[in-house]
Amino acid sequence: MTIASSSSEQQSVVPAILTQDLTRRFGQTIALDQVNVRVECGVVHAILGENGAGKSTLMNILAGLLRATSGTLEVFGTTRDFRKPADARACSIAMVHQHFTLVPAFTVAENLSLDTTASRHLTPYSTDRSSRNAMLKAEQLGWKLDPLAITGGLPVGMQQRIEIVKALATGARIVIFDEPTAVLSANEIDDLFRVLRVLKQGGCTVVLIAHKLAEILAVADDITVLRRGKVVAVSAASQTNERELASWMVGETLASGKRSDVDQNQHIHAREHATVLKLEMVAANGDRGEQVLSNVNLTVAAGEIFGIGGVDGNGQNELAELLVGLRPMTSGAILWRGNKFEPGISPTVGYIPQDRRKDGLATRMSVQDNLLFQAVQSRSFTKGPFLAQRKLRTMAANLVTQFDIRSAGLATPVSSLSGGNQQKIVAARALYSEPELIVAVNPTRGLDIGAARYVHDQLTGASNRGAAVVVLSTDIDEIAAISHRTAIITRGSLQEYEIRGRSAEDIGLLLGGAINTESNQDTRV
Amino acid sequence: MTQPDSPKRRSVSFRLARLLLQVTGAALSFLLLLAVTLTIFGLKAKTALPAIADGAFGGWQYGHLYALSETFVEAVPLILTGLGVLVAWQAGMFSIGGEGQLLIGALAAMTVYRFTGSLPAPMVTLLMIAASVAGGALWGGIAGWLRTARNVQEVISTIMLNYIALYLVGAAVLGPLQEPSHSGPETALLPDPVLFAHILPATWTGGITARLHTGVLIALAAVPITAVWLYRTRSGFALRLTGHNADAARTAGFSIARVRITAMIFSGALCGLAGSVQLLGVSARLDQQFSPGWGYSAIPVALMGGLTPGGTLLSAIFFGALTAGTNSAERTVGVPSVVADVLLAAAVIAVVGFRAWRGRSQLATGGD
Amino acid sequence: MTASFRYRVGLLVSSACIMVVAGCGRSNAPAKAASGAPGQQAAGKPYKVALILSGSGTDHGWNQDAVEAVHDVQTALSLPASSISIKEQAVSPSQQQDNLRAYAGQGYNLIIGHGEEYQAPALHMAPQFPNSLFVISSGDKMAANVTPIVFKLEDGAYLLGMLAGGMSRTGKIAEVGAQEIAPVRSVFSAFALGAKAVNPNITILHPVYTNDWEDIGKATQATQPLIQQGADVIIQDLDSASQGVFNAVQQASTAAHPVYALGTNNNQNSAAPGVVLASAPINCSPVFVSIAKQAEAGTFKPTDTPYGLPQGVIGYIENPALASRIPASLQARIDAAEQAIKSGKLVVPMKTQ
Repeated sequence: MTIASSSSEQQSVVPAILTQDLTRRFGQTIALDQVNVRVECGVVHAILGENGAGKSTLMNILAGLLRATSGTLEVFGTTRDFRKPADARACSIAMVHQHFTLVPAFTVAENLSLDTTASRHLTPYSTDRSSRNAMLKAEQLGWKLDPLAITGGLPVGMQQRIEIVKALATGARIVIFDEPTAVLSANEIDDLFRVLRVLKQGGCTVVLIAHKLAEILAVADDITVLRRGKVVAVSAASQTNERELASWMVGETLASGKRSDVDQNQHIHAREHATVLKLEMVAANGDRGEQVLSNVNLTVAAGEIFGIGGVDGNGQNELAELLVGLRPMTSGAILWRGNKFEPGISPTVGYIPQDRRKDGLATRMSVQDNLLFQAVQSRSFTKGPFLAQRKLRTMAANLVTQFDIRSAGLATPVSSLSGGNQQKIVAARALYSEPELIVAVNPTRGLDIGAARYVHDQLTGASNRGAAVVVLSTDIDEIAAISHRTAIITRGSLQEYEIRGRSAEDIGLLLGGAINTESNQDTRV
Repeated sequence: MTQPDSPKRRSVSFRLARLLLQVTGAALSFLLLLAVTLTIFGLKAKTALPAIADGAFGGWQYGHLYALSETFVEAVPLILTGLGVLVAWQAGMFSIGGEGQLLIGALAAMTVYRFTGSLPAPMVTLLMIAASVAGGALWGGIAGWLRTARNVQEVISTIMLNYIALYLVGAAVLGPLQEPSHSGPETALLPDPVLFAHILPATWTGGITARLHTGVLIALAAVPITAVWLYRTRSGFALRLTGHNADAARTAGFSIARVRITAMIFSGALCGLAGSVQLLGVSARLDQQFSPGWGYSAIPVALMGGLTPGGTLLSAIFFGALTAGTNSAERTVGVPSVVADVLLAAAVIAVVGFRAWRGRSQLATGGD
Repeated sequence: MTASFRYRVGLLVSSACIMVVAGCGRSNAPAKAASGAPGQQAAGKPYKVALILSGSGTDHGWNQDAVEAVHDVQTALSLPASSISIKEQAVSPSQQQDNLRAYAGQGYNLIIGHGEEYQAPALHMAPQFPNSLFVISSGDKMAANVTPIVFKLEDGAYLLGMLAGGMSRTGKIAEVGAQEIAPVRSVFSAFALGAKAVNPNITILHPVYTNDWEDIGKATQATQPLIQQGADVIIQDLDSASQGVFNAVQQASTAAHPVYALGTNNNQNSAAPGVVLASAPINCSPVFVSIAKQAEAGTFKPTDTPYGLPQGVIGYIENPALASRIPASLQARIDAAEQAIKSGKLVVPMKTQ
């Protein structure tokens, strides 16, 4: 791990924000691990990191939306413990959210008066009066806002301006921007950066969350890089470059390929004979009917693990759902052993979905029920419409033993299990029936090393017995460690790319430039 | 690693003890609530409480059997509609449509009687039951279809369907189904041979026939059938999974649309059945006031029963006892019948609130 | 035994259960012969009177009148308070039957079901309780121990019709009812008859029914179009919802163009003093007391003779606040008709069949 020393000379002035050993856990998961961040007054400070690095968790703590599990937070030299957003606002911290907090049906003026009216119940309400301050701010920034326009009908860039003005009108001296460029066009980004500089000159401190490297270098003064909940580097923007930032972001264990368990030679030999899955020019739509995947070509052999790396929201979920038969393709062809691809029948499929709590588990149902999502659908565990209770129970008990799932019993609800054990349930369900095709998305996200290792072993084991395995992950290390062949997915198109042996900078650049405009949040609260 | 069995076995006895404690606590606080409410209404708890207990369980003016019969007569429609609600809610369909399904069930049964009244009585009864089940299932199925095919929220659609059902009944009892003299907005009384038999011989209940009818057997049979379906069949599994997490159900390969429609059909069928059971067991005729809101009361009944069949049975009997008790206490000592409504609402808020609080405290202490 | 075998057996048993349930119909055997006349006081036992209402006993209308009448019975027979029991809000048929049966089972001598809806269940269960007398307000059928009270509201409605016919300036009058049932229709036809007697050319708009005895808003909405069509005197038969008609009339009525409403079932003159010209109230007290006295003595025989103006059960009361607006000639004709009905010279027809 490289900790680059901050090049901005140690200032004796009180910093705007100083955290010491700030830690936040979600159950078993550590989202922030003893993070020390120092944001000087009157600068633009960028917090950089991959998805899942802990950026949003940190920001949510600063904004009073989350409380730290341990550690301290100082604002302008005073120790603070924000219990609610209003506490942060009282300390002159405002946040410009990635997902706007505006009421679409309200006019601009009404939205701008939301915050200010809250504390003045006794004075007569006047939209004009309470939005005046914000409108003044807008003028100072050189923005023309129509106070009577309906907010929902305005373009996204304009809505963001309202959000920014709203934050500034509270008298904030520290403004946090959560991925502000994600929704903007190039021109709008330029204008935003101009405003950030204006704010800085006006004495404001700006904290900027982002993961597009070029943008950060263009506007930030200082940069803190987070990776897996830890601060891995702190640098002045002038002292670093994209390559260096990228290597901090994605880590640097790749180049050697030392964690790879895979015997490449033996594998190449096997694969020549047994390509089983073949995608040709496949396209598919997302949930809202927008095209997400285009021209995807892909071949996977029996006994092969095909790893696909990429930043969240580039089409991984859609591709995975396509492969397990949950999403139709709009064009192209998929073949299984040269014949029609009928997932579930030919081939049999095991699926580890990306978000176990959303798609993989019913957390209030029992461990046993959760292990049986697939089994209850198979004829061998049912008699007519009825479930073969004893058989199912025996099988669940066997899986618990076999996959080392630790819980207080088969009847306990899954919500009481640790994240690792929950993921083991999802993996056990996907793998026990020895399916021919296994699709896993971020199979080790949020797991500790032991559990992650275990899941990797299971996937490797499945490939050794001859299954075709497709792993999609945002963790490049993971892809490099377990895959026979690798590819990168960017904006819905797939590009075969040998990750092993490449420098971290190369991959970082590739991913950094490939970040989709719809990036996900790091943690769910 | 422990045997998966042993912790569960231990927890059963532990849970039993805890349950006992909770029930005792709940009963005591409920009695207190009852006493306070009665005092607020200006009644002496000392005379009113025994009068309510007498109406529900007997022992004073009434024989035990007669009073218990009243309790069960009141509980029967709540058992069936409560089961209907729990089936829908377990599938994540927040159906408010029990009332409409019950009315449509009764209307369908009455319509069938109109056309088949001349057949042998047992056959007419069977056809009426079948018609009510079909009618309720249709009414529930419409809401299910609207949700899955048109994304109309079932909360809205079921309420609208309730109104349609109510006004259909109103139109029918003023039109084609009205009693022959056309003087009242109601159907004629069904003849005795068609109706469910009374179970208790009059001699057991002091010479007055108790109203407990064989429909109670249908209601009691529906409890284990629903339980088996929910917990012992594949489609019941899919239903519960969909209710807990529809995304996970879809990912696991279940058709959510099918599950939701099935749940609404089954839910509607149970509520429709309640309509014919009530028609054949008690009311013997249909009018717009046929139901005093059983389909709505079913929601608190099912919620208080923890959305489980056994719990719903118990809570329906509890509601039945309270209704029978306050009904009778109004006649004997003048307890206003609204007291029952106040108490039921308070009991539901207490129970549901307690569950929510417990759920949250579990969430706070036990993992994510 | 395998699990699925058990389920199959279970299903079989439950369907058999339903077959059995459907198979045995109900028997309705009458009880032992009566000792004495129905409703007669049994030796050594207190005389007990029960009243069952489908609505609230404080509705300023149909139900409240019955509550007051039962208290008059208590006074007339000098009964202790414990001898009187009133059950309110017996909304559903199930509750109505339950209460009839429960009172009869507890040996109440006189059980008044206050509404036509009690008739069918009372007739059905009456043979089982030969010692109780079931009194059905607004009923029309008799049995050994069931008697209807036929309220001849038509007497009052006829006089209201005369008033309406004489007071209407537009020549159009209207009727708003809750449900299109025979008693309501009969009242409206008596009203029309009275109006035509005064003004043969009067137009009576087609009656409007709200299908709700309680919803005031629906009543208002039903009335407004009638006023727009030119109706300026409106009779209603709506029970608790009648206030909706009064509201609509109050809104529409001006000094230049007055619109009037008429009260039925109760004295509603004070409900909207500016617009209610007169009311035809039902007064249960005389008939309840008369039946109770005869029954206690054992001399009562069920009868379906109507109780109307001559018996003092139906009244005709003009609103003193508006009485000055009624022309003397019209007043004279109405007074004459009232006397004629009371003396039996004029019989208003009932069309309840």
